[in-house]
Amino acid sequence: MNAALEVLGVSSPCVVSVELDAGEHRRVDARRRPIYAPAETVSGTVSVRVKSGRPLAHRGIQIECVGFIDGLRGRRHTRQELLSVGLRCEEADVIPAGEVRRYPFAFVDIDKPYDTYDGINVRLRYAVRVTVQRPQPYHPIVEECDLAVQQATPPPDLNPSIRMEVGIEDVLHIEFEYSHSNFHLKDVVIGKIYFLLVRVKIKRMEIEIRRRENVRGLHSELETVAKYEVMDGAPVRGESIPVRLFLAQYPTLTPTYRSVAGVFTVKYFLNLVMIDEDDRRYWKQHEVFLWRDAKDMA
Amino acid sequence: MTRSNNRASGATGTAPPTSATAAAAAVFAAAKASTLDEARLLREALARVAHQSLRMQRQWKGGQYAEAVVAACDVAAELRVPVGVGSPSSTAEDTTAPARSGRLLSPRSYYDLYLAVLQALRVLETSLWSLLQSQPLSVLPFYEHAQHSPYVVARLYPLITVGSVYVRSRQAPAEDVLRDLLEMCAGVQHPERGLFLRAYLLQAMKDKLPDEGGEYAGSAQGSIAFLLRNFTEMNRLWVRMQRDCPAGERARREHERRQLQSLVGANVACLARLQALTVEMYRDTVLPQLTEQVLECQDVLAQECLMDCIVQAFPDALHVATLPHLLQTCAALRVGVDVRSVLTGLADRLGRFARADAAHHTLLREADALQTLLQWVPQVLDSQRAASALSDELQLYRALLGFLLVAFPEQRQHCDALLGLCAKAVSQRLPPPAPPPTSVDETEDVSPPAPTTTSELPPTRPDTPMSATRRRRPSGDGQAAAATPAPAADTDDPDVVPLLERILLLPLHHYTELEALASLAAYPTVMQLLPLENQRALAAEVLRRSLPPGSTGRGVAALPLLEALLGLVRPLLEQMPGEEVMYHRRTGVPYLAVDGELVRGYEAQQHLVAQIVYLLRTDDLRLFVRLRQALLSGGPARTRLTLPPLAFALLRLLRVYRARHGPAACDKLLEFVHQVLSDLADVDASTALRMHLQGAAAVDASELSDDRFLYEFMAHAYVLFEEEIADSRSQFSSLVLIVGTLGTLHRLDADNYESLASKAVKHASRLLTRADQCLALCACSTLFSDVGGGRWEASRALGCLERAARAARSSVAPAERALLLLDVLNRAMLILEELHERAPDTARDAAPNDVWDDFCRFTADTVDSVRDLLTRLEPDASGGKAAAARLARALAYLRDVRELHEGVFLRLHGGAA
Repeated sequence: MNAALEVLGVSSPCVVSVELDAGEHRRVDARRRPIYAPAETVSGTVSVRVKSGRPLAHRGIQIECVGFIDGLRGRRHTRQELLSVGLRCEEADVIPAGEVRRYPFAFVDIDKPYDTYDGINVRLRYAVRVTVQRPQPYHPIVEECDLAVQQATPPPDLNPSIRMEVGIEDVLHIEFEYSHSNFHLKDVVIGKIYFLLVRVKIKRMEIEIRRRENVRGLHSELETVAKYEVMDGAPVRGESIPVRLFLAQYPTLTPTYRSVAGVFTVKYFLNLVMIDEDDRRYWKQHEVFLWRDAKDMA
Repeated sequence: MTRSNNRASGATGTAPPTSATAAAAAVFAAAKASTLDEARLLREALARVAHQSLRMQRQWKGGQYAEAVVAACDVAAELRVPVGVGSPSSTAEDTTAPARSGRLLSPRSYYDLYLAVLQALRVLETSLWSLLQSQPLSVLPFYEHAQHSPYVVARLYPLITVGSVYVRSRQAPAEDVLRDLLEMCAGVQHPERGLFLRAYLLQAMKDKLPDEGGEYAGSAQGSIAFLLRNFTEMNRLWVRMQRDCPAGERARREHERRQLQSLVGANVACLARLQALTVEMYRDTVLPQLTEQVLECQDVLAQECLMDCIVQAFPDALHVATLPHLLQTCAALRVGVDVRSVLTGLADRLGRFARADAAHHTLLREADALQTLLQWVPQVLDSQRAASALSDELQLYRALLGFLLVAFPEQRQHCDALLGLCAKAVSQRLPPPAPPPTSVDETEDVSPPAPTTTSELPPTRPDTPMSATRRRRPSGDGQAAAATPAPAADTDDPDVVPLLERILLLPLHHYTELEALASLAAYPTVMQLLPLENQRALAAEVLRRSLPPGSTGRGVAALPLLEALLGLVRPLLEQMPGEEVMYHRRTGVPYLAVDGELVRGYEAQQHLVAQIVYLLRTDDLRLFVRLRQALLSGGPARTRLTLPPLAFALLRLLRVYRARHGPAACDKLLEFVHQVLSDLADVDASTALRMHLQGAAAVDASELSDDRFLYEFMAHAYVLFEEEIADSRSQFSSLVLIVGTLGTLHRLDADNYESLASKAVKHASRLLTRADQCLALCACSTLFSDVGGGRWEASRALGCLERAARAARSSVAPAERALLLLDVLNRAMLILEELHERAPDTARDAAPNDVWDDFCRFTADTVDSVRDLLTRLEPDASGGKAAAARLARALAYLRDVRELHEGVFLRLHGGAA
């Protein structure tokens, strides 16, 4: 492909790459993006290698650190900038063919207030963006290197357990209990479900972790992140079923976000679902708060 | 379109199968399809297990331990397959479940799958263990990883596997791991899957339970708690299998539950194996919890199996300590539970326990085991009365009795009570007995004495074929016919009779003393429940055990004991309805018969009855009188065999009796003997005759001054000879016996002797054949030649011999004549010699010369006659040679003592050559 484009003379004349400092030692997230703390300096080197054969004439090279929220509202794509700090590292010039130029950079004290987030309808990204401006009619050459930002929060002051008694009269009556209402992301949900009355033939019981993503109050998306069977078969009255759910096994979990730049919120729920012989579902959903513990950051 | 429809309807219409066969075929096809489906399901699942297992091993070798654990979860996920009994429609699992056909695996197939999965998990276990040996790793990450599977069954199996390694590595206290696993297992509430899961938990952990002296630290209490909890849960799952079961499926479901019974029982067995289990712990913790579970579940099958399991699993000593509790539980079980087999097992075990060691006896005694058993067993049975078979109940009594006899042989009243319960149980279950059939004897026609039946003798005397006649006895025989028929014979259950027999044999084996046996009042009652044949066999066994030499007992010395004994052996003593007496055509000896067929083997039993008299260690006549009375009720076929020993025993008693009570008291005894002999005379004349002679001899030997009884016995012998002995052979032999006996009697008054002796001579000369006459007269001749007895009447002796010689000469056959004459000759020589030796002076000098001469001449004549006969005999005649030889011997003898027989030689015509 590239070779074909090259013959046509429309392929990119140079290769732009971003190398972050201590890149290989940095922790990466589920998408293998290096993780930064909110106030951490983002530094590295940009290298531009001009391909042999033709020198590159450009009208300036710019390195930016950007952050933005991409949203999907209806069919319309929206983007809201959170951060854009740029520095111009070279004015218009001609780089001879075959030459490699390096531009070290460092963004000190830039504020990255929100965590990176990848949802269904909304996405919060940070990136180092390199733009090589070119004379008309060429498009600028843009190279982005994604960063992940994660911040640890202190443990909640209050972490009450969840205990509820729910039921449908004369059909099913249960009491469930989760050890906490706030969990950090590597936490274990420990709980118990007591069956006080069972008049239906339950086939199994699951705990679902559900995420509700709400973009600016207009629409919300409920997504089941995980399903975890906690009981197989039909219980009888008085049975108590243990729950032990390791959250660490679900890397896509994020902390609960109450409001991200006023654009979206992310909430998590534990949903207890019982499925009976006729595949009817009985469920009780309860919100839990996820947070990122400093220990997880280490 | 239209056309194809027509064709379709035509096709269905042309060959309509009959509805029944169609239905049957459909059912068959469905069943076949179901098994085929099941087999396919299993095959596919096994293939997947094998595949995932390989994947797991590959990943482990590649160092991807977490992935390997996940693969193990995938292996175990195959156990999510639907299992159980139920309609296929209700088992629609979610799409992720491996069941695609919607069919079910039976527990048996599921077990196969379970084994395959276990094998894979064992690989995981050994791999993990060897990894831990080579690297200092923590097991905890593995333990957590195993819990990542989204399916509860899939994660719990590997979790248990890793957990067992965790315990083994000692990185965590065994107790904690056990508790955690136990708790997590609650996630599986499906009956079959849960049962298998917990069975695996137990299997993986049973060698890792903290125990006294075990290698894993921790308290045994924890282990007990673990096992009890696991047991409780498994039992609940097991019971739940039966829930919501449609009526048609019940039997099948029960069958499948029975297959899984051992899974539940394994917990109990494991508990029983704990070293640390003390009596206190068992009594205070384990048993109450176990029984609570058993009672709580309210399930017949579970209660039955688990109680049995508890009884069989735990050591006897623990049962002894907790007997009341155990029995109380039994009483509280649901109706329909086969509690008898449980109790039977318990009693059997206690019995073996008592037998094993003498120290156990005291243990049992201290625990008051017997009282407890006897107190509770009726309650238990009452609570279950309607529910189970008679044979089960009897089985229980058998076991209890066995235990009782081993452990507390001296508690006879309890033994008796148990037998009473037995009798009650049997009689309650049976319809009231039908009225006894009327005796054949009474309805039979009186007249025909002709032989109606011919049959073989019992094998004891196979050489004499016998023809027998049935004849009605005048009285006495039919009296015993009122005995009730055996009710146990009416039941359909083939086990009842052998069980009753075993029950009855038990006291026999344990009580060597007859008193002990006799004190069991219910024993005869139970015995009467048996069919007659079995009753008799049993009664014979009773006798065999109490009689010498088998017996070590003290015998019978008091009337009540004798009564009891007679009660025990009553079936042997009495004539039963349907039995009749057949008489031997020639000898007139009575035999027992039923429907014209001789009863086989009754004689052997009667011989035993006859020996009862030897048990009597007393001189109290009342006992003998009672015995006679009892024996008489048996009818002639029996008294023929049983009376003679009685008579003999009485005669033996005579000497002792005289010494103890004086001669006067002997009259009573002898009168009684006489009575017995008259009884016998009605039945078997020839034996009675001999017995009278015995009596005479015994009286003579007892030195009673009075000869009344002596004469009486002899006179009766003569009467019997005259009236009852018809057969000429027996006449001869009887007469010889009479004469022989008479000759030995010393205490007869001379007149009495004279009359008896002359009677004998008269009878002798009236015998049928010449030969008999001759020989009998020869025998009679000794009656007058007894020098010592002072009955020296040479002339009468000679007279006898002369008549004998005359009879001999009348004989037709020459050889026989010669032989008979030789007999006479021998006798004459004997008398001559006796005359000479006993009183030489009298013989030769003082005696009248003519008598001596007559004897000599008679002897010489006889010799001449024989010689004469022999010369006329053909030399090779059969008797001739023998006669010649005997004559030669006689002459040789005469020559040897020539001086004595000088007179004879002088008179010989042919000389002494």
